[in-house]
Amino acid sequence: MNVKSSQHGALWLIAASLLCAAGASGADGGKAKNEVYRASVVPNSARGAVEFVVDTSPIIFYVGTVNRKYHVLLIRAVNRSDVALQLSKEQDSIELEYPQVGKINGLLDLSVTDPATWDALDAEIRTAVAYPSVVSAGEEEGIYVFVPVDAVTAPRKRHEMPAVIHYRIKSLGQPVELRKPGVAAA
Amino acid sequence: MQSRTIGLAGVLAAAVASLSIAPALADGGKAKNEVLEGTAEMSQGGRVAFRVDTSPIIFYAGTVNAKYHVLLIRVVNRSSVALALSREQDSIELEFADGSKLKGLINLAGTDPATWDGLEAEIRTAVAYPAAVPAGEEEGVYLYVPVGALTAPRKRHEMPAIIRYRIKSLAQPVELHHPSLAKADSAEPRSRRAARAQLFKPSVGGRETGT
Repeated sequence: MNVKSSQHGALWLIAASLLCAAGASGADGGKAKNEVYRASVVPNSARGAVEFVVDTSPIIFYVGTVNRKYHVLLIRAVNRSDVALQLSKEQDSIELEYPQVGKINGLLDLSVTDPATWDALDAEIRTAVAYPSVVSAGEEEGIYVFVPVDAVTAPRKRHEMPAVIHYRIKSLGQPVELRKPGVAAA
Repeated sequence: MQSRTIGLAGVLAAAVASLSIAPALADGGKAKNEVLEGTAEMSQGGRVAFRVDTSPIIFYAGTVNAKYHVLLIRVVNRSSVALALSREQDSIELEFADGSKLKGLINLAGTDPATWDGLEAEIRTAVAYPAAVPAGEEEGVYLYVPVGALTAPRKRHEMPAIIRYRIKSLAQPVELHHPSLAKADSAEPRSRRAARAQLFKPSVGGRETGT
């Protein structure tokens, strides 16, 4: 009898926990929810990986522009390896792949591709968003990707973020593919 | 006994060494986010949590119509009653470390219809000031800050020290602060700050941080 009542008690506890969990997940985030992309790459002959993360609200990404021409996406690169990751603003590239629109090129070096827009930014902002030349071992850098507004009209109207972000870094032997956790490569 | 002590000391030393090397090196630099948090107690019981979590550079690099920077405040209503909002009567003020204050706009449709109408309908729907945050739900409150009023903080990449959000249906204004800088003289006990952090733990199926 005692065993039975303690089993009942345990069942009630489990049921109550499930109800609490359901309540917590009731706040589903709606239009304010962020989208997250991750990738991890181990550079040749390195110990440890470089991690890449995008964590953004689609609405914040799409509502703001630079000079009414570009949306800006931040990729955080955290170098947890023991070697520096070399970057090249001339040779590295980024593509955003959308399910229906296909691939769209993001710009890494606005100072060359659109000097008028670049020069209109405050000097202190230019310094912050300039493409870095290296992510030193044990350090973190922000990679700012400029995405032409007109190229993402349809996804913007759907508040849709890319399925994959393809980041090609010349010094790495392999492209970095940032995906949403839980979404495997095709 | 002695070897056990030495073994424990070795493990402790290794743990301290690993803590002091790897995470400390990745300092975030210019990509680091800033977080401001606040809570409101509902008179009927339960809490509503408010959180800003953004990269200052992303906040300052982009604008709406070259006139406003946009900040997202996430509002999570963990109480059992809806939080009523009013685009006419609610207001938001940003206070910077030097004491300067400026008003943010929450109802762009009313204050700058030309800019509002310039947004696509699908974006307008998403960024419109909500009429309520239903019980158990989350809403995004989008705040527009005039570019010209932020020149000095923008050059320093400095975010507000306090965001003061006055909601007509609440008796007290909500103050969002940096969690690590929660006022030492704050009446808010540590246990309540911990509870607020709990409120923003990611729910099933998504995250509630970062921009």
